[in-house]
Amino acid sequence: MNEPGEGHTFKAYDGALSELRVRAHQMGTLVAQQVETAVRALLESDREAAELVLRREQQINTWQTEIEAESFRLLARQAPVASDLRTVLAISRAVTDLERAGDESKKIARFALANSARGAAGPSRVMHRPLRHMAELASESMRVAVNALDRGDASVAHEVSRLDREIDQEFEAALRQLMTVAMERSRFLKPVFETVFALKSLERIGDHAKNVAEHVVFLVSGADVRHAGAARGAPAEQTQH
Amino acid sequence: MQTRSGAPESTSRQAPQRLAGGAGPSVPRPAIDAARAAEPVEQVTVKARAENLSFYYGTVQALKGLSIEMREKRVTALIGPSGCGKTTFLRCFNRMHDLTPGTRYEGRIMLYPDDFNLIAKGVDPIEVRMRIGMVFQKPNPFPKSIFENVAYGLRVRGLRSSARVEEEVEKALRRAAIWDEVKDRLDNSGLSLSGGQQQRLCIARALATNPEILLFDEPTSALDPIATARIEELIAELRDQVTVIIVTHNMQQAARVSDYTAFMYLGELIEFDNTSKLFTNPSKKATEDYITGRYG
Amino acid sequence: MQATTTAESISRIRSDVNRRKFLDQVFVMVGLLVMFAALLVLAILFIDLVQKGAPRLNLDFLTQFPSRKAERAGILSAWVGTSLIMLTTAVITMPIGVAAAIYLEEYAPKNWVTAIIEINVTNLAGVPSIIYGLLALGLFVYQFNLGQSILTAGLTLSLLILPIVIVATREALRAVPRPIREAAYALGATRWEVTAHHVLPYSMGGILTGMIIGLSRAIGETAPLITIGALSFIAFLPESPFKGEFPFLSIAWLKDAFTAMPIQMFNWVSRPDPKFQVNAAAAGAILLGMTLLMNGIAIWLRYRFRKRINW
Repeated sequence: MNEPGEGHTFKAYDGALSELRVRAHQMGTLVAQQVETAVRALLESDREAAELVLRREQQINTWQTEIEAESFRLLARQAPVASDLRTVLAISRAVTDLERAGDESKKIARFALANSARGAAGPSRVMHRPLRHMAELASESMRVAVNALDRGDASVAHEVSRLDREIDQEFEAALRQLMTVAMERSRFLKPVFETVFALKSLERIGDHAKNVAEHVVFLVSGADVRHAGAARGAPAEQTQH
Repeated sequence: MQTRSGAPESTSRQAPQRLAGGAGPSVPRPAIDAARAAEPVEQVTVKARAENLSFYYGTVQALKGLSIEMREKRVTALIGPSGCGKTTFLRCFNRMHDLTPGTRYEGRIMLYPDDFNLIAKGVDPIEVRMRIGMVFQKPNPFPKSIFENVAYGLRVRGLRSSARVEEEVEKALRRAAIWDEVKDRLDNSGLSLSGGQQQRLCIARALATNPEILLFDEPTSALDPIATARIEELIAELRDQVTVIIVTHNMQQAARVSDYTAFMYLGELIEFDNTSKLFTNPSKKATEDYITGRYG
Repeated sequence: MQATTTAESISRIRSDVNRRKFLDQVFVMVGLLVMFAALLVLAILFIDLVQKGAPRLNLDFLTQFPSRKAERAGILSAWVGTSLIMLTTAVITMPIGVAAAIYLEEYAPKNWVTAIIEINVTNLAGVPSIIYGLLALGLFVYQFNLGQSILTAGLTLSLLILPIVIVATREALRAVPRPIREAAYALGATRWEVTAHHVLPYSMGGILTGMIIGLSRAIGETAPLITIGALSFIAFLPESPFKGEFPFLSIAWLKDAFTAMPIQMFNWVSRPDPKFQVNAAAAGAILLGMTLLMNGIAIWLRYRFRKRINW
């Protein structure tokens, strides 16, 4: 992450901040892996992968709690300002999104388990193409966002944002397709619903990836771009100098 | 000695510059901070303006061409490492340096609305000090009664009517939020008070003369946290009554009490901005390093 | 040093502390010893004088003029003379000394002229008193024609103690902290207002102390008074400073001849009749008592002012 000047005069502060960054990176990496593994479990009907995702979910929750507690302690004891303050805030916001992305991975993994139990029959073949595309996009955007958080690189925010839009469009298209399936073959109603939930999870992962990227923008420049679209009418926000 | 930059004083009589809506002349307007953004238009008047101010102790140059504005009825904090010249700068405003032989000012410090260059040759420092009050680092009440401490400035100004003096003393003590604590013992020595009370007494003493600008030179560096909090609260209350310039070593204090913050380093002004902006997202790397504690 | 708290290391710490505390105690003892030695000398001197002079230490001694007969001789003219000389000296020294000190401390520009003046003032304090006597003889007695009077004596002793008073006053003025002066300046006070309203009142304890220390030096001076021609045998008093009619006070006494305590003593000591030695001892005891009293007042004043003002 961006590191202005030398370290802090007070070394323990440096230690606590870099510990926070390292742990956020660890958690981010694991969440990105969870997304990838869950997607693999789904696409390749890999039971083991799905079970792995479910096993690792607890770790993510633990890390989130720990990182937030550490951020809280840092705020109380070091009273960070400027880039340090933004780092702590961005990280504690990012871990919330990461944890939720982890939850979504868990849901996808459950769906994959259920799917493989049912066998390759049913609508999954029909649904396979949109699922695959969305899964790849979601996984890719989460990977990019997590890397951006680690490097403090705001330049990829646009990339993540573009991926998110693509995911959203893909989601719309897949929903229409599924609607057709449901209307034509009502016996597929249950798997269709389940697929919709999986798709929704992937769409949410895309959103969370986008949020993480926005936290990175805040971390680097201090600009809050979360609701930039909605607030376009308001006075122009100060961004970079 | 004085360099007269810009127009001669006599011809530059003009109304105080309004900064609202960008009407002011080439003023770098900091982003309006969130708390004030709700107000429709922020009306900020410039109370004082240092223009290319340099200051010398003998041959040592302590201030190197500072230019900065102090906004009326706002709190401006001066921060920076020891020896950066912030106290030197503060003491230019009431010509305190004139007490030390061999000091020299260059440039101008304009006081508005009357366009008065307070460091111009021929301007009597006493006249300046009649208009600008100061509170010092360590509480320094006179070893006189509490009443006489506050009354002294009035007496120097020739106020003789004891009824008027009493009225003004009470007003000042109330403004300094110490009236309730001392009203029953106005005849006790100012030195009988606690450190924090002494400092509020000193603030009352400075307020009694209704200064246009009140200078604070690290006013809480000798006080405990609770006394410090009371002084900070007091400064916050004074915000709408008087223009305040405060030097502080405590960056959290600057962040808490000020509207604007100036970061100085080695006798130069590095950054001046809205306090919220400066403490969340400073523009200059030197400022960032200093306020985050990376100053080597 | 290891931070282990074994019984051994604790006992080592204890023995080390004990050794160093012992040294501390040694210094206290030495200090007390030296101080008591000094006090003892003074006490012996005083007791010796009181013992020797005991037969004459009574009211008569104070109310009788000197006489050829030792048992009838008193110190009336001497103590009245000394008191009036002290009064004169004080009245002359106080304003001049304080004004000079204020000028040097508060007003004088810091340049080489001031530096030379300062060095000279300090040096003057070390000039032998007989020199002042000679100066006064030439200047006051012959040049200004003031005669061998109380006024001349007062002026002479003023010269003698002015350096002491100036130095002490400057110290007292300097003890007023800079922040107090700055506080007054910051309120718009002029230099004179700062001095008159703050610096002077706050340093009054120190100034008065310096003044009294100076006077207690002057009270014992013999040489300059002899030089300017003090009489050693005066059987009359100077004109009274108090009068029955308006304006009730008189300064005619200033021009009167005088004698003083140390001169009276000197006179008696140099007589062959041992009875006069008794008189000298009694006068000495009284003079010493006067000096101690003045020092006591100085201490009391300092205490009083310090209590009111503690920065």
